[in-house]
Amino acid sequence: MQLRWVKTASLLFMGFYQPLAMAVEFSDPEIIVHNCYGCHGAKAQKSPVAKGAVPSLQALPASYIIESLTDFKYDKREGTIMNRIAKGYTEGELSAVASYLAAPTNNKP
Amino acid sequence: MRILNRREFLKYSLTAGAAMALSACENMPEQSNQPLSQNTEHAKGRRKVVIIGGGVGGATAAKYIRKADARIEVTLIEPKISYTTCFGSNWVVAGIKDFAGLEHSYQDLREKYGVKILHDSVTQIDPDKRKVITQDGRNLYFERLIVSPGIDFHWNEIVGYTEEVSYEFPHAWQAGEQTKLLIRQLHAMRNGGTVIIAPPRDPFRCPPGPYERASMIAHYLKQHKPRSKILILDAKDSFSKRTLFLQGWEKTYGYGTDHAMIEWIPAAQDGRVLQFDPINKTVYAEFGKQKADVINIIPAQKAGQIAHSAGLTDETGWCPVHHRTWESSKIPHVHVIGDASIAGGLPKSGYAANSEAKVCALAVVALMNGQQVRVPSWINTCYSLVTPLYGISVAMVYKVNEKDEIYAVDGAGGVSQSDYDGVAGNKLAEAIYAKNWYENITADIFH
Repeated sequence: MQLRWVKTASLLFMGFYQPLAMAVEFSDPEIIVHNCYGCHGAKAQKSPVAKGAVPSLQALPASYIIESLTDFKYDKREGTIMNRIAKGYTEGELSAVASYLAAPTNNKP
Repeated sequence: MRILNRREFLKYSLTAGAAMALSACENMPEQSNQPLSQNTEHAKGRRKVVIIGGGVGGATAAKYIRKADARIEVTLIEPKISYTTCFGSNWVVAGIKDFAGLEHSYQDLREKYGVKILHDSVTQIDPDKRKVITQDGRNLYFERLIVSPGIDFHWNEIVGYTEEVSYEFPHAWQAGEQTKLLIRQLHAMRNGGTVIIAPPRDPFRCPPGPYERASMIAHYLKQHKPRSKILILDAKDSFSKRTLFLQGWEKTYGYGTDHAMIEWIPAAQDGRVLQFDPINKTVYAEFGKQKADVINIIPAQKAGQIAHSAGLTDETGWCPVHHRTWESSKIPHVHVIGDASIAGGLPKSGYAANSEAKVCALAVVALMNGQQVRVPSWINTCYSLVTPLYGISVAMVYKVNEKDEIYAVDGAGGVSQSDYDGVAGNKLAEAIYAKNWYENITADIFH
């Protein structure tokens, strides 16, 4: 039973995980965006303390998002933490994030 | 690991598909041992996730599983009627936040997301039969179990600081009555009194927390009891955002001068507390004894109790997991998230627990649906307040390598700009963001 489980598990591991040929894997854009929601909220949140201080990510065009994120990444725009966050992703990942956020069906509460 | 070519990958994928079908049969509850009701439920094809713990990790996971696949039934087991966040609780001391503002009900998880909320406690996990047994005698089957039990304490490691003593001298490291008691004691203290904060050794929940607490108490004392003093007697020689905190204390609380409101004594200067005498309100540190009016010992920590009794912990007292799925390395089909897990470089913070829960939620949905587990990444962002208008932060992006190890992305993250760099920094903006962050993350978790 124990051995069978191990075999099953290792087969599952090989089958369901990303192929490991790439040195650095491309992070899933939806998971990246879920992490953004920790500060930005999944929809426009009404904060009694500092309403709108952290901008909502809803209803923004992809071109604006990708420009903002790459500007933060390369320090062309000064922020507080966004410069530090944007440097964590490749241009390809930031582009995928922008596409995901801009798709009206994806960015919902 | 050997790199698979395309043909090999396809072959393994197909084999995995077959293995999945096989394992589904294997994992069916054995007919002879199971009560009829459970078999009936299973036969109907109702797919069940049980989550233990309604804190940041558990509540986030519940919501994000239901958002990803509403066909999965999610039961969240939590004894408390509402959750009081630990983050933000220091702000109550400084009068920035009402205590009630820390409390969050489970109503939205229940009504908006269809999570079944069970106010009960799990007494036993049976991984073979895949069920949890509760204090009220319930018997719940799970296909996948997520354990998010938070922290427990190493009582009496500081000799004399026991659980009983903590009801009189609060650690206030699990928010609730403990927080209220600490605030009452600070309000009752005389002008000119001494407050001791004794932060624990690593690792522990909320690494900047003890130092933000010192800041918020200092803010209160400066206005109401200005002759008072805070002594931080530390078990460590450094701490999270140390440069920024010390700089903020110099600017605001006279740190390093004769009139310093906050004094920090690290382990290297014999600051570590060894023993506590509650009757004489005296701590015994390596440098000698110190009497105080309010004493806040934050004990060393380990994973929440149920993780230990279920066999999910290792010799460190925390829970090893596979980081792409947060499935326990000790017990299959059981996932551990939040402070209780061993999370690579991710700190034991609310933001990290929220981030881990989202990765875990999508992995659980993928595994239950026979889909590929996605490539994860995580963010941690921690704001601390030095004063209500002076905020500092630390942030980092984390990814995972092919060895299943989490790593901080090179060149990313770090702490706020330091004033020593010759610029004023963004302390006011970060204070505003900190308060706004509280509203947004709690909305993301509970609402």
